[in-house]
Amino acid sequence: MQSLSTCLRWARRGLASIALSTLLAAATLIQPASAQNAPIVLNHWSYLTASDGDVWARIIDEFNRSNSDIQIKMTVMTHDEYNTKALAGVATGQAPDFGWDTGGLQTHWIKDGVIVRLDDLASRPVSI
Amino acid sequence: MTDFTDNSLRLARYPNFDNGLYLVPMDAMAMAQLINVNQATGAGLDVTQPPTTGEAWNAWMRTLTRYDDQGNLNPAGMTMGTDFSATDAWGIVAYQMGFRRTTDDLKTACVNPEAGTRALRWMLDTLDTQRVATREINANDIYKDFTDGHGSSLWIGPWVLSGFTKQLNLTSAEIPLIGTERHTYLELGGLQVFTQRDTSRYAATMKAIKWLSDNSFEWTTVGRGGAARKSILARPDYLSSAGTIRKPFIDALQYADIGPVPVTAAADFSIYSGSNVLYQELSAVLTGSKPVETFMPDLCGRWQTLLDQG
Repeated sequence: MQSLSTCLRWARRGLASIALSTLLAAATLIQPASAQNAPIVLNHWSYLTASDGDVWARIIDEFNRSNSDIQIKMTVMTHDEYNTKALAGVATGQAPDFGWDTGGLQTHWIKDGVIVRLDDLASRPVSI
Repeated sequence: MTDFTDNSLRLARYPNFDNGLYLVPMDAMAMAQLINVNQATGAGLDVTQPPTTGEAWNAWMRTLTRYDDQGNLNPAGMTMGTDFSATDAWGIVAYQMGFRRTTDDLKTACVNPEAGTRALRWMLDTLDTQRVATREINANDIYKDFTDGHGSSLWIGPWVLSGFTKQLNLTSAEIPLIGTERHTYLELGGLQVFTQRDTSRYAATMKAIKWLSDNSFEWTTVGRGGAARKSILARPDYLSSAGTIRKPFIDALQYADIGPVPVTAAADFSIYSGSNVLYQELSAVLTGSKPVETFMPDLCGRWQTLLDQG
């Protein structure tokens, strides 16, 4: 069913295949810091490839400017790639830290343990 | 999580998995209608008074539609085609007429299937009797068809707004009441956390997601859908920042309830698809390969099989 979900999103955004591209320039990630206090770099995958993706990229940039302890490395790909690579990534320990999805359509990934239940994580005080 | 709207949390939780939360809501998206202002004013219509009833909508579509020498519609009043724009039109009108895809307990497919058939007949009337929408899409891409001006109106979600408004002079309105109850398509966008071998990464991930949610004002005013955070919705500058084009999409969230059916085969129950079971059954009728009478029995039978599978 994930391929169906993918198709509807593909149809919605009406986009041709877009190669995997890293939007965040390496220069923004490499801060002059010692190895001990280097920021945690989170891998974020996004399938927002239409005009909404431009706005989201600005917000990610703003996050990186505003947070010295965490940096987000965003990778944009088609929804097909997202689904395929995320599954493979979890299996091989190379999954992104977080990514986009649509409410109600994640049943397969919940069953397969691809994504994490958030009730406890969301209720904890945020500190790293 | 108390700042999130109830509707967004409902779609981020999974009843079949102990009502667990698996998504941090970022934006809620309801469908409304976009109208090409230049074509509407060119046809003599007052875009400040868009149609709100089925009767008024028919009159608008008839006024907007033009026919070339061969009798082809260009532009069509409504950009419909036979795939995802057709499935959402059928779904929304069917719900307005009293149809439901499943019972509340998710055990039985199709409540009030007669309303589903009435919605199909409304579509066929729009296509064949009123002749204000076409099955064929000129550019083989309904979005391009609309932005190229081959259709004067489109029922769609807010994900197109930031792109389309750069290409067309548009206005928006809530989808007219063709049936008896207000309903429209609902979709929740959000962020999910992937399983990590190094679980110590979750704290940093949640901190980042919290920041992105706390700072989602721009995302929910100029980025994509409406806010999922009560504090953002309550901001006095929220609606003005979102702009008039987004107001009907935000207002429609109050009654938008045609969201995902939280079962394994959720995608097959979506009313917004160019590939799923609904699309297959609907397009078969719209393209003439199946009779109207088989639509609801065949669709409901396939949906019931999927529900029975869990």
